[in-house]
Amino acid sequence: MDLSLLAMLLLVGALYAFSYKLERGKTRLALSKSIRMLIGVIPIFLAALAFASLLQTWVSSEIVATYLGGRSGLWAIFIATMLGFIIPGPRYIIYPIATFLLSSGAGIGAVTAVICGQQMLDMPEAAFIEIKLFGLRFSIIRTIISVAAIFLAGLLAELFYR
Amino acid sequence: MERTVKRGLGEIAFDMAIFIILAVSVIYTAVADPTKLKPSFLLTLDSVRDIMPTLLLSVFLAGLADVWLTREIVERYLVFRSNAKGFIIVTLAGIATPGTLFEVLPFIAILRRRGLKASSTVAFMTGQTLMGPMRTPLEIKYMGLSYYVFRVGLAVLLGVITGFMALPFERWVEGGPNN
Repeated sequence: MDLSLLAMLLLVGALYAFSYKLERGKTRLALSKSIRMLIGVIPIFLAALAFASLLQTWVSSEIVATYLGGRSGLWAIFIATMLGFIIPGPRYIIYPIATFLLSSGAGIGAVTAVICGQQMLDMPEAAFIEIKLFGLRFSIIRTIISVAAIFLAGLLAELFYR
Repeated sequence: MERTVKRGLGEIAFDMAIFIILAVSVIYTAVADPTKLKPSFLLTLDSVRDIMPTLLLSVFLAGLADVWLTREIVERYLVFRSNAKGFIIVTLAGIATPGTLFEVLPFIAILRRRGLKASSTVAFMTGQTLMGPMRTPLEIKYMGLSYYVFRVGLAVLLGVITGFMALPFERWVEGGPNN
């Protein structure tokens, strides 16, 4: 068990113990609400992970490099924004891909857009849970705003990062 | 009553859509390249093993927050002003929050239900997704310290910008289901 998980386990355990000491009824209610939330979220969570894993076997770093290697400028930032959108998997996997892209000649703006896109949108895994918990309207607005922000991030990196 | 039925049907349709997308993807992969099925299944198992424990703890924490955090508490201490200072604070809080978006979503959802504004939520999520304490060593190792510093500045700036961009849509978002 890693340290952060252990720390979180201790924190949640301590909070429940404290809550139980303060008010047993509320703590039982918290447990039942948590279980109800789990029942609602787990099937979507499993389906989202299965879909993301399937996508990961189709979208490799070589495919990303094919589209971005040696490119820079506005068009490259736009392509990078779209590619960041579909690169699945945990957020840390983007760093080796980013250095690979830089060594293939991609511009810093495009690389920044890929990094920000993959991390900010967290597609497709978190998107499903986000819609489930926050509603479709919130997710639509956040996605549109994020795409604009990622493009801007690429542009700022291209202009100001040396 | 009618609203409850409509929301229920919407949620069922959404759940069904995810499973239909998954089924279509599996069938397509089975036809186009069946050798990809086993690795993707193993990847799914790995991801479940990695994320599930934290997700479980996060949901139990959200359950506790749902019971103890009243609307008054959230409005008094956690509803930040919709100005540059408020968005900077909420973005920095997001940057400092460890874990994947997956893991923190249940907790943020409770804060939303208790009055956290859509614009503050968007700014928080921008900070939380763009930077993370656990990813810092990796980013410095692969991209260098100066790039990391540049990205921290960029994350704060983007948090503020996305917060302001979400402001005009707040009323529309609050009027939708799940709010």
